[in-house]
Amino acid sequence: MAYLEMKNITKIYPAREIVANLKVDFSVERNEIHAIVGENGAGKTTLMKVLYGLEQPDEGEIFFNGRKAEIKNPMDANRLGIGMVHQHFKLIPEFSIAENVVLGIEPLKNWFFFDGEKSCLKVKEVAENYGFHIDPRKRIIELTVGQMQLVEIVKMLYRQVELLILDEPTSVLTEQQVQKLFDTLRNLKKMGKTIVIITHKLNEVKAISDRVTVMRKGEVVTVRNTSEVDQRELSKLMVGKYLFFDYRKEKLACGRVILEVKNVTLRQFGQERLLLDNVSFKVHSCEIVGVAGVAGNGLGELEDVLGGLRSVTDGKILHNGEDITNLDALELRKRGLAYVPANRLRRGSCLTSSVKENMIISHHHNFLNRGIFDNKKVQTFARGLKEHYSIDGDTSAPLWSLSGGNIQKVILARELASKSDFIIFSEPTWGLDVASSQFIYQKILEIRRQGRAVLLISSNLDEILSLADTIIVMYRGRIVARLPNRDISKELIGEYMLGLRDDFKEERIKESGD
Amino acid sequence: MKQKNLRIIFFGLVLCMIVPFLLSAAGEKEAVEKERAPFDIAVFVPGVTAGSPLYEQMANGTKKAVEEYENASVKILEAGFNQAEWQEKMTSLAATMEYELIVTSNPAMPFIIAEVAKDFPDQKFLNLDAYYKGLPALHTVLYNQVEQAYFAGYMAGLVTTSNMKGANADLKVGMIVAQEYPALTKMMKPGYIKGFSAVNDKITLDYRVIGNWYDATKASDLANSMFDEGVDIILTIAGGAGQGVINASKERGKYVLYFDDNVYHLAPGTIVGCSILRQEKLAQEKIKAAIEGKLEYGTAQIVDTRAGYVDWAGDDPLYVENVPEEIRKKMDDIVKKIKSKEIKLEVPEL
Amino acid sequence: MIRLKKTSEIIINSAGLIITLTVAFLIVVILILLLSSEPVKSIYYFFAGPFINKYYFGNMLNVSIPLIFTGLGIAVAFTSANFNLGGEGQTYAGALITTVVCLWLPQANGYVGGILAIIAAIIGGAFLAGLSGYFKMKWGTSELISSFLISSAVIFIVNYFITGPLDDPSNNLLTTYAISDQYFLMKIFPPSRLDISIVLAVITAILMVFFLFRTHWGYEMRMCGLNREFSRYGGLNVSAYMIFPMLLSGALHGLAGGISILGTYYMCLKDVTAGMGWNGIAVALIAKNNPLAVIPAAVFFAYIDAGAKAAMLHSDVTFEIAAIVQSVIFYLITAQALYTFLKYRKRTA
Ligand SMILES: Nc1ncnc2c1ncn2[C@@H]1O[C@H](COP(=O)(O)OP(=O)(O)OP(=O)(O)O)[C@@H](O)[C@H]1O
Ligand SMILES: [Mg+2]
Repeated sequence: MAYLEMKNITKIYPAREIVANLKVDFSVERNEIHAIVGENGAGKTTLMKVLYGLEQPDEGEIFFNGRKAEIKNPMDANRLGIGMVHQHFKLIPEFSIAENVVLGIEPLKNWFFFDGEKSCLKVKEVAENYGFHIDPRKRIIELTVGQMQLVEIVKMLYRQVELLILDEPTSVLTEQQVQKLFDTLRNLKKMGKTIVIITHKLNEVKAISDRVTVMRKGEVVTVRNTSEVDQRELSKLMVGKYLFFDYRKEKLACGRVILEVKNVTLRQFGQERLLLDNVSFKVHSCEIVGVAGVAGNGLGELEDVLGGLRSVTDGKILHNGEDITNLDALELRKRGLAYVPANRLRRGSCLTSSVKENMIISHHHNFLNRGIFDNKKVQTFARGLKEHYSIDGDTSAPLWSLSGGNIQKVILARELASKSDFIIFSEPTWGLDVASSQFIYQKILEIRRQGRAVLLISSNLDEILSLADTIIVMYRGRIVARLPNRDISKELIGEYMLGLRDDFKEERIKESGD
Repeated sequence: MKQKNLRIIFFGLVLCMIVPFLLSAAGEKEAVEKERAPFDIAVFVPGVTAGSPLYEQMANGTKKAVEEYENASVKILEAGFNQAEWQEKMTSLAATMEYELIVTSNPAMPFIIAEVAKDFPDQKFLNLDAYYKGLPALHTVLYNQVEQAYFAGYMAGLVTTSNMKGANADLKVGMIVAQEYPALTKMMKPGYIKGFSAVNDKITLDYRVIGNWYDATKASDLANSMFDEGVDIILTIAGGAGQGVINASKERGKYVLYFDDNVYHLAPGTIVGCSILRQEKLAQEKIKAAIEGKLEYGTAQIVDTRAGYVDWAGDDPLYVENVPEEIRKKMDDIVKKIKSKEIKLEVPEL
Repeated sequence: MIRLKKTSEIIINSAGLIITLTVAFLIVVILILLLSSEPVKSIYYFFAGPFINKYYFGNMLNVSIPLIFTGLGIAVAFTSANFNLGGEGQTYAGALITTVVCLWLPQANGYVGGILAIIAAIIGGAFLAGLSGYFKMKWGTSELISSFLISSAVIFIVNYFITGPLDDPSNNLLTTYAISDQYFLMKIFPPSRLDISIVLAVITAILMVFFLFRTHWGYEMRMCGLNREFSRYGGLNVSAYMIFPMLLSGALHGLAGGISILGTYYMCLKDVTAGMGWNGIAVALIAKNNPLAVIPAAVFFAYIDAGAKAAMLHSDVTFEIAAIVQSVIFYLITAQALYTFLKYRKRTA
């Protein structure tokens, strides 16, 4: 008898009559790590939401420990020992770790008052039981993504869950963080927990899971023991056919300088440490410059500065020789800046407005006819992008009703539609399935071929190594390496990223000595 | 968007569903309505009854009159303080066509009634404390408030020239009003001035306007600044705001004169005079006349001290106790002279 | 089967409102049973009163006119995440300005002068609300607080003019002089006070929908309201959209005040527009900020008001009881609407 069984689950989203799950059978054995894979929009998140009580299925039943379970809401799920870490974290940034963890089941003083001390102690205790070392007093905004994820996991462990669901936990993590997460998961398994993990990276499926369920277009295609399938077969099962994108890079000579960053320094008001410390680099036409680094080392700030959302303290930024330092996004957009931000939900998109409306921002002026939108034109444009990027979802539906990967595709489609000679990509393939990622890579290379300049900020080293012409590594706001992408190993970049190597150390010492 | 629209429609449907249901309930009620008494009276209170003596008197007088007749009934309707709503409410009242007579009191009402009468010419109105001619369905009764104010003025003159404890050497008397309106500027203020000038023509008037009928704080500030300038007695015609004047006077040991109602008990020793109107009596008599079909609609009447509707509250024990006998005597004389028309105070054209 | 599901979805979505309505009406019935000696009659007039004759019905619609404008004013500000709590003052100022312009041009052509007066009211309201937007852009002061404070001060100033320099001493009410009759808006449903401006109100609501969902500014405004960071990233002039929606909101409030004078009151009585601003907020909440839904929501408010008035007239319901009953309904419904609004905010945040 299986530990968990979902039988014949059908979920139709009524608004657009989307069949997200159709007669899905899904089962998990006690104490296994079970992976779910599938293309963007295959219905993975939906299935897990049903299990966690966030959505009610139109049909089907759930059996837990052999008994029929009525899961009406996440509280019910928690009571049964089911916990879920979402694709997009649900933490309150201003609150401390402890406060976030105990939220909803706070320990009380005198029956009424929130007991801050006790919650810190309890959270620390739970974390240490599982071998995590975190300071429960720290606020969420001070954490890296990896740490936030840990908080989400601790939050579930605090609720004493036995079955932990992780929805695309690795897409926002760096290589090292992924390894750490996997160690944690293996550890949890040893302690008797059961884990369901959704991912798009097939190597991760191989690395961590015992069994794997493959979904396609709302249905379960197959369930396999992981040891019995290889990645090629998995990807065929997911897509239904072998897909092969040719995104091999051709050799192109660098052209003129398009973007130049000169000694840019960024200091947060009232803080000692520089967020960006004397950063200089150039991006040429036909060149992809990849920026690598561990989160919290200035990548985000570099993105903000170049995107016109933050002013530099010192230094200059030139675009085609013209000074664009500290121009805001409004003016940069007028100059044709295109930019895919890492934070897709808050910055990159507006979840509550429609897909269409998300697709036209920053160039919505093109669809106006004397100040009034030409709806036909907008519709045609949106349909075009939808087709071209195979976005799964109605263009007039609100963006939040799309699957995680499809939201990212909307953002990419919009920015790629721009004609600018310079584009910033920050974590462009987070949350995308294999096919879509490769499609995006192809697109980025196409842009390069057109003679445009690309800045690719990414924590995915494979992505950087296979795309970039020049690699820059940042550590503590400084550039510690600038390497042409020839026979570089991942390990080498890793050493730079962790601050173990620094090509410019001597220069800096010399400068400060002067 | 589509869904939202549907929601709106649904919302509308709900309203539409409730309505007919209730309307059908209405049909059953019709029978009860028919058995009503032949002479129904509505009292329209432009404000609320509680706390405003003239309105209380009007309501009580009407009730008393109605009690005497089997076939008469009365309904009191309070229109609230928002003047902007009075016209609509008066029109609605007339539109019910349920009342033989609508009674109200307030100099502002005839103008509103005139508007209402355009749409409902058959509705009869009785408006106390107002003067308006030429509307066939309206009878108004105005008090001779020149006389009423003259009493207060004469008293003010006597007090400020007396050697009562709170009186000073300055020949200044005060008057605080809520707002300016014709009855005030043409009857009360001139009557008051005539009154104190008759005592001593060197007495001057310090006159202030609050701007509303409720701001007791502002009234008390005004009173204090008047006392600072040498005023020792103030006549207040300011509704609820008058309480501020009373408080300030009590603190400073000065004197207050009150209008329309006998309120010595509010501040014995501070309130040293009340010029009163007998609205309850008037209401009762007029309503009786109306029920008996003797009220002359289309006319405007003026009633005075001699007729017994305007008076000086000169026999209240608190008045007797706190006002020197000499002054009381002089006041009694004046009241007599007014009654006998020895002193003639005509109501001017309003 | 899927069709069926859709309808049920709608019912569920409106369920909250319907339940609240039912509860509110039940409470009303209970209150009246307790407080009235002729409860059946009172209840009948409370609910059916506004429909028993043309007069009440027209008056009810007339009361809804300014509420449509103020409701729209609040809704447009809300859609861009701006909160205008200064509606009371802006409406009152609009009423005074219209009156002043009409008094200042006693002989002018009714259309020309009337339009001028309304435009002046619009500008006045827009200016007052725009100030809050400007302060927000300049110093980051919350428009919620500043608009409320400015409005409170404005109410004092308007009162000063009504009871001071503009007071009509020949009128026994606290009011300005009356405007001359060429400015009066046409009555369309005699004997009720309903005037032609209801057409303008409906047109304005439709225009607002068009504005918000079809035009360039509407789009940018909504985006700024829904997600400020996204809008900044997308190159919208975010700070302009702190002022512009407030200007628009104030303009609609000023318009509400001006129309009340030309259509209903003909003079600026003290507190003539009292309550229009606050009720506008409740109307917008019930309408979930949808400009078209503002119309039924405003009519609903007017319905409650008219019901209370009818009950007072025809039964022994007193002013106080009517006020209590009215506020019970208002508060319950506003609370429910506020609750769903906040829930929605939370989800989108
Ligand atoms: N709340 C919703 N309303 C309407 N449609 C929805 C909603 N949530 C998801 N969908 C649709 O259901 C389908 C399945 O979505 P789901 O989020 O389960 O995909 P997924 O497998 O998790 O994809 P991804 O890998 O991109 O996250 C998609 O087509 C999506 O647009
Ligand atoms: Mg998903």
